[in-house]
Order: sequence, then C-alpha cells, then structure tokens
Amino acid sequence: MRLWPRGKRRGGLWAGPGPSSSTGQTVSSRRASPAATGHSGAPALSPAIAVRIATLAGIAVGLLAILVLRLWFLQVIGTEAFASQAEVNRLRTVQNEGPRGEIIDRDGEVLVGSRLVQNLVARPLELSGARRDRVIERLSEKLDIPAGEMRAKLAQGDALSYRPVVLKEDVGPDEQLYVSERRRQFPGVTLQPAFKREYPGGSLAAHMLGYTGAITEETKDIFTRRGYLPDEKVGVAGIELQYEGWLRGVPGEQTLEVDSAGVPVDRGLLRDVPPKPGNTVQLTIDSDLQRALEDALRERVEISGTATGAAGVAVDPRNGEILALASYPTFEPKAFVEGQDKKIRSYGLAANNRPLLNRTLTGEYPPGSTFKAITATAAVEEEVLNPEEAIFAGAEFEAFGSSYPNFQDRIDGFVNLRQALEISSDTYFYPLGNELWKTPNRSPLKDWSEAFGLGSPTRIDLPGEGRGLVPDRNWKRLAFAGDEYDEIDRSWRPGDDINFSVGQGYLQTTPLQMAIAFSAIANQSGRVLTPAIGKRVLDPGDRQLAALAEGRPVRELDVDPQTLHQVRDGLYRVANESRGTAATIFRGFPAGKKVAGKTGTAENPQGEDHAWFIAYAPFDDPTITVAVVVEHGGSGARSAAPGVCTVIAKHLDESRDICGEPPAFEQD
Amino acid sequence: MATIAGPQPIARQRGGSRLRSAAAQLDWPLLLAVVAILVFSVYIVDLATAEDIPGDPDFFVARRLLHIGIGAVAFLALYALNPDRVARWAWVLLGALLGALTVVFLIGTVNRGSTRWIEVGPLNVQPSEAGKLILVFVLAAVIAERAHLIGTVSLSVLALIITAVPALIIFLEPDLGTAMVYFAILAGILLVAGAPWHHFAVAGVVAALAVLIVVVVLPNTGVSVLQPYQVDRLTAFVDSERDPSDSSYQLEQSKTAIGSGGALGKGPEGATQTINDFLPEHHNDFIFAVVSEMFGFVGGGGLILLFGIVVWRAMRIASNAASRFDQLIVAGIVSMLVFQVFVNIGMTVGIMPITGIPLPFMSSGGSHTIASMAAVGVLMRIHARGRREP
Repeated sequence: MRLWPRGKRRGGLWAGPGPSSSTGQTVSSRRASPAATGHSGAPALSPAIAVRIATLAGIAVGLLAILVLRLWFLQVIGTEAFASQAEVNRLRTVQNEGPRGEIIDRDGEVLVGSRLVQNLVARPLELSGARRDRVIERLSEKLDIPAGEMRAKLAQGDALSYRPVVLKEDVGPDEQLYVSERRRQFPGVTLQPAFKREYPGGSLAAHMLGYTGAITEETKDIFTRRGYLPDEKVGVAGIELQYEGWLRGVPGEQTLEVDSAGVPVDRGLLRDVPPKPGNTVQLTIDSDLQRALEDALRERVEISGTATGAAGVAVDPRNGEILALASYPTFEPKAFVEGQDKKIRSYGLAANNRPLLNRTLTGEYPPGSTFKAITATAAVEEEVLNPEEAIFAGAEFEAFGSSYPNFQDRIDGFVNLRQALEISSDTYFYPLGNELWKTPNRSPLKDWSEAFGLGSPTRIDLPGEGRGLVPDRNWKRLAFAGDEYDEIDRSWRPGDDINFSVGQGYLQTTPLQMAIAFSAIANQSGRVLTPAIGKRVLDPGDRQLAALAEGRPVRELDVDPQTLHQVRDGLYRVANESRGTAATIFRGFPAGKKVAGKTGTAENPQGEDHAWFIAYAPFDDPTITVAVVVEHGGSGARSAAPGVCTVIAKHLDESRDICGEPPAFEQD
Repeated sequence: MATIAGPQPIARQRGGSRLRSAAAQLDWPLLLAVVAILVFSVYIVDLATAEDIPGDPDFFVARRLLHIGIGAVAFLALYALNPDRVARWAWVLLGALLGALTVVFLIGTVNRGSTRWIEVGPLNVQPSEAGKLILVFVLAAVIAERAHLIGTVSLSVLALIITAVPALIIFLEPDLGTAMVYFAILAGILLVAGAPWHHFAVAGVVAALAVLIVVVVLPNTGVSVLQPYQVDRLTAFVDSERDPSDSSYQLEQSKTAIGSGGALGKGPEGATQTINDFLPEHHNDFIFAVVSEMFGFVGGGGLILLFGIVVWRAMRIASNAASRFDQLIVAGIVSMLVFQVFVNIGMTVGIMPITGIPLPFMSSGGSHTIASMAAVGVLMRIHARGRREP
C-alpha cells in the first residue's frame, strides 16, 4: 500500500520557527540517506508548506509567550495580594475559651461548675460553594444536625467572616470520634473545646445564682469595650451577673499554621496566649439550709392551696451574711444552657406565677402585723406609748368617723406592749398610729420604717433588688395627683397612719428588707446590716483574692436598748407564751434555742392574704433570722410559720419534728 | 543568529561505532530539554507529595520513576520502530483504539462514573493517551497517502471523521480535555498538510456554535450534554467570583500559589499552599502551580522555556523531515504537546478552563508520560532519518 507520495521535490529556503530563525538559513542539500529512512522519498518542503510550518511554530511560540506574560502579571506585578492571601490561608487564629469560675457555698460545695465540652464549629470562609453543600449534607446525614439550621447559621456567619460558627454544641463522644477521624471529609469544620455551665444541685438556689447567656445586641458595645469576644457567654442574672468580673474566664488565643482541611500542621503552633480561667466565688449560702428553705417553701405553697408563690430569706443577724435565699416557684438554670424551646418547658420556665421572679428581692408585699415590731419601737421612742401600761383593746377602733376592726373582731381586753405583740392585737396598735399621725411636721412611722431599712434597697450584692414603698405625705400627693382624685384623697389622713401601724395601707416591703429589719431587733444593738451573699473570691489555686462580705456598711438605730428589749420580749411571747400566735409551733424548742418571731397576715387587693412569719433564734444570742412570706397563703401562723420552723430547726441542728402543729384557729 | 557553516562536527561514517552513530543521530537539545523536564518533575513530585501519604513519603516519586522508566522503554521502542511500518497498520491501530475506548466506555457506564482506564494487572492503562499517538500516525498516513487530495473538502472531512469518532467516545467517558487534544492534533496536522484556511474558518465557526449549543442552549431546554462538574469547570475561569464552586476554589488556590511565589519563589519549605494542601492535585493537574510557588517566575518561566526548546527542536525536525508523512507526524506531536502545555498551564494561571489535561512530562500519571515520551522517540526517529543541516 502506498500511503505517501514519493515526491522528488527538494527543499528550498525555509524560514524556521522561533526567535532565532527569523532570518533565512541555508538549507543543506544533504538529506537523509535512503538506508536510514527506509524509503527514497525526497524532503517535501515547498514554500507553501514552509509557511504552514512557520505558522504552527508561530502559534506554539505565541501560546507559550502568553503563558509567560500571564505568569509575569501574577508573580511579579500582582504578587503582593496573592502572598497575603496565602498567609490568610495558612494562618488560623483560634480563640480558646477560659473556663468560667465556679460558684461554691460557704462550705465549698459546688453550686455552679463548668464542664469541658466539644463544640462542632465551622469557619464560613473556608466553607464556600459546593464544598459547603457537601459538608452540610454529610453532617446532617451522619450527625443528625438539621441542614437548614446549619445553612442559616453559616449564612449569618458569612457576614462576620473570621469568626467560627457553632454548628452543634456539646457533641457526644461518638460524634467527636467520627469527625476527628474524618477531618478531610469536613474541611473548614473543627471541634472546639468550650465550657458549659453545670448545676449539680439542679434548681438549687436558682434565683440567687442566676444564669449566663449570649451578649445581646444592646450590650454588645459595653462588652466589646471590656475586651469580650462577641460569642462569649456572660452573666445575665443573679450572682453570675453580679460577679461577672470575677467569674469570667479570659479567652486565650493561638495562631496556628493549618492545612486546607483546617488541621494544624506539624510545626503548627506559632503563637500561644493561654486562656485564663475565671475565679471562684464563694457564697455565704449554706446549701443544706438552702435546701431546707426551698423544701419548706414548696411544702407551704402546696399545703396552702391558695398560694401563688413564696419567698424566704435566712440571714445571720450578726453580720448580714445570707444563709439561704429562696423563691418559689423556681426553675432549672440548665434551661438557659440548653436553650431549646422544647427543654425550657421541662425546666420549669413555663410554669405559672413567674418562676424567674426572685420574690425575696423583687417581690413587694405589705408586711402586715410583722410591722408591729417597728410600730412598737416607734411608739415607745416617740413617747406616745408606755410599754408597761395595759391598754384596752376592743373589737374595733373608731377614729374620725371610721371604724378599724380587730382581727376577727376579737376583744383582747387590757394588754401591755409585750402581750399586744404576743396576740397581735390590732386594736392596741391602731391608736398608736393615730397618735403618731398627730406628730407635727413629721411622719414618725415613715422615719422609723426607713431607719429599719424599709423603702430603699438593702444593697445586697444581687442585681435587680426592689426598694419597696414607705408612704408619706409627699408620696401620697404625687400618687393621687390624677384628676380622678380630689384634695381629700391626696391628703395624709389619720387612717393612713392607723393602717400603717399594722403594716397595711400603702406600705410595701420585700422579704429581704423585713429580714434585715428583724435582724436589727435580734442583734441586741439595733444594727441595720447590709446583707451579703458573696463571701470571698478565690483564684484557681484557691488563694483568696477578695473578701466580699467584709466591711459592708452597718447603721445603728438611734434607739434606747430598753425599747428593743421590750419588743424582743413581745416577739419571744409570740413563739412561746400560751396566747402567742405561733406558740403551738415553736414551743418545743429547748432552752438556749428558743425562738422569737412575729406572724403577719397581710390583706391585699389581689386576693387571699399574704402569710408572713419572721423569726430569729436562739433568742439569747441569735445566729439566724428567717423571713418567709407565702403569697396569698392566708394566715401567717398557719401558712408561713411552719416553714420558718423547719429552717430554724435545721439551723439549730434539731429535727423538724420539734416543730409543733400550727394553731387550730385563724391567727393574725 | 549567525549562519552556522562548515562541516558537521560528527561525521557519519559507516565504519564508526554504532553507538557514536546512534548518538550522532539524536537531537541532543531536544533530548536534554525533555530529560531536564522529567528530572524536574521527579524533583517537584518528591517535594510536593512527601506528606501526602502518611508513612510513605516516596509513594508518588516511586510511581513517577516507574512511569518514566516505562516511558524510556517506549521512547526507545518508538525510536527503533520505522514509522512507515506503523503507518501500514494505521487502520488496524485505529480499529484497536476504538475497540479499547469502547471497552473503557462500557466499564464506565457500568460503574456509573467517569472511567478512563483499563486495569491491566497493577497498572491502569488509559487508551485515550496512547490514542493520541495513534491518531497522529493515522491522520499523517491517511493525508500523506492522499496528498493529491489535500485542499479538498472530502479529505478534510475524512480527517475530521477519523478524529471525531474516538474523540466522541472519549468525550462521553467523560474526558472533555483529552477529546479536545484530539482536535488540536487534527488542526495541527491539517495546518501543516496545507488545508485551505477557509476550512479552518468553517471548522472554527462550527466549533463555536457547538460549544454555544452544548453549554448554553441545550441545558436551557433540559438536555444536559456536559456533566454539571464539567460546566462548572469550564465556566469557573470566566468569573470565579460569581461561581464559588469547587472548581473556582481550585482555581483561586492555584492562582494564590502561583502569585505568592513571586519572582524567585518561596522555596520548597515555604510553599505553604502546596505543603498544607490548599493546592488541589498538586502532583498532577496543578503541578505547574507547585513549581511556580516554590521557584517563582524563574522556575515557572524556566519550565515554559524548556517547553519552548522542545517546540523549537520539533519544528526544526519538521522542516528537515524526509517526507510529508514525517512532517505531518511532527506537526501532530507538536500540536498535541503545545496544546496540552497551554491548556494545563493556562488553567493554573486562570486563563483557560479547568479540564484535567496533564502537563506533558511533568504531571504524575503513567499513560500520558509514556505516550509523551514515546512521541519524543518518534521525533527522534524522524530527526534521524531527516535531512541533515550544517
């Protein structure tokens, strides 16, 4: 078969390819010998073909030249931008959370801790386009994370570019293993250690401890100025908020060299600023007492049938240290760690009656008859009352055309101050209110209320404390300024002080305020203390950094010790004498552990009376004051006092069986 | 350049040693350029892949050396083989190629994926690579045999059909890049054969229309000829901002590697794009980016210069070829090599689509290395039997 022509043409002049061949070259007449080529065909380089070969050469050289030119642009002219892009690729700055400090009780029992968890995080920048879709698909398939949720988070993260986005918190061990063994399948996705708040006691002390949460849009600027990272968790309530500065763990920062899957390379760590763990905050709380108080509140609310909540405070009357502080209904702070709607319900947040409300600080209630201790002090000190004189206390007290009934229209007969407190005689105190009203240019009940710390925050080291309300002439004028009221409505009338004298009317107090007021009576010298819940701060090595409870302001009442003695006598009788309103409950305490206290049954426009009981013990040298209010719980002696009794029994190392039955009939 | 005159330095004497005679017949600049590129490729593969397979840093280098060894055998075989005798078997070779391609295609269909290989023992043989060289021989033989028909539409169409049938099968494998190489070979051979310019013009217009229909029109009517990844790859270089697919990710990483290399490069230790695995396929399709990152403009430009030497020597061989047949073979081989170089490097620098065409003599991969080295053997043979120049 002849596949090629046996042309005889000789080669002519040929302009060869390449820069060196633009000039003509002499082509030799020599040619391949037939022996070498296997055929005798002559070379076939006609001018036309030479042009064609030159064209092919030209195209080839032209293409290579284009490449060199392009290379020049990339490597010589544009190199800086690419070099910095390569650095961005290579270097990864990782922020490592510092564990938040623990919150412990006065004996070192952990109330809030931090647990190391692994979060699955993604860096939106490294996860773009088809890569992102693939990774999302794999994650949702293998780790059961909703794909839509991940997509939304990543889309949000795109705006922040450098910050990693948490795809799933607290990844389980199996899932951790799955991801870390297949890092190349999940480029841009890593496990990042983080710390999660843990509550060993469940709902124990929930209101006081508070919880942490994300930095919000509103607080962002403040925290950024203080050096926080946008995704740090900060205290938003309770101790977590109050001592944020001590508790916060300062994040560390590492600069790593990584490969394309985000895996650090061998020579990886280029810079390492280790995280600083937060400090431990020790509280004055006694966990056992706290538990007893919470149990008591729950029990009182459940037994009462009408109560909508309860609050209780136990404070050391010698120094103002809070031993227990509880509000009911309560919740599990864990709910804020999990942060999922479904779970919140099961942690109590969806319960009725505002479980997040810390009633001890923010709940404001008329104190009812518990206030009589203050009225008594005021009346004696203002010299409108001789405490030893027996005064007739009838079924009602009439003044200025109005009638003020005794509790259950009881006729108490002739009683002195001690006895009046013991039986909580309203008609003994009404005239005192009336007399005090007559004091020119002053409002002694108001002044004494304020002296005992009512009407202003106690300045406990917890956020959000209420101030209560101590009414006076000016307040009433403003409160009734509206057109629907007349001048008589706005004036401070005898009835206002008469109601005031038995803790009714406009007076509003928090359980904590009342506990502090009673502590002033209990601690012999009339010291009004500033309550403290933080005891001290310990660094991670358990060295003390600060004593929080020390040096808190103390104010001494300007009062004759004898007056307080009289009041204390009355309070002792309440719990111990035959007619005492709470005597059936507290009678059983042995000598040396005797209890003194006062019942209160506060009428209120919202419904059933609020039940109060405030007590301190041991009577001779008190180490605890307990105030409990059962919201709409009815009688103070029946609803509140038994709860106080179990707490005091606990504190005094007595069995709760020492507490007797509540009185069979209604007591004020 | 000054005219080189005078007698040939090495006289071809029948009485001389065979070795010296054989050495004299070699085009040494061509050989040295190719050997330089191959040595460079081993060096680069070694640097780029040391970390790729944990515990086996030499995995890719060993394979590379094996492939080059087989390639050297192929070089010698093709150098020893008389092209004319190959030409006699042209149609048989074409038939065998089509058969092999069909087998690969069927295997790929069964596997529901892209398959380009036939497994022969431990080796994967890629018929489409050998097919490049076969196509060169077949086209050169067919056209040289019909020299009197050059310029007629019928010969050009015959050549087109010979090219298009295997190219179509390869395109369906799917391996768009290699299919494109086949057409580059056709274009080069027709160009040197002397096909009229208007044939190229018509072919160009038809090709443009075909691309338009395949990429734009058909997808819009619901028929997708190209795999989605192929469309991604082909369009990624147009606007990488608009289409953040994996292809544009590869492209961005490649450009970053090359650009960050700067004039002198970051050195083998500092080439973080390569070492830290940002650069995909760094021993393979993107090996040029590795060279450019490590050795900068000097390294990348030097490599292109070596390819330039190959082109220069090949064109010289073409112009001195003993026959039209030889000339056309050289034209086909040059087109094949230059097209691959341009598309591969063009891809890494972002001026050509990402098509998966290897860089001749440089990229990992046995079949194309062996085929390219065999092609150099053919060039050497044609040089040896070509006209001598002073």
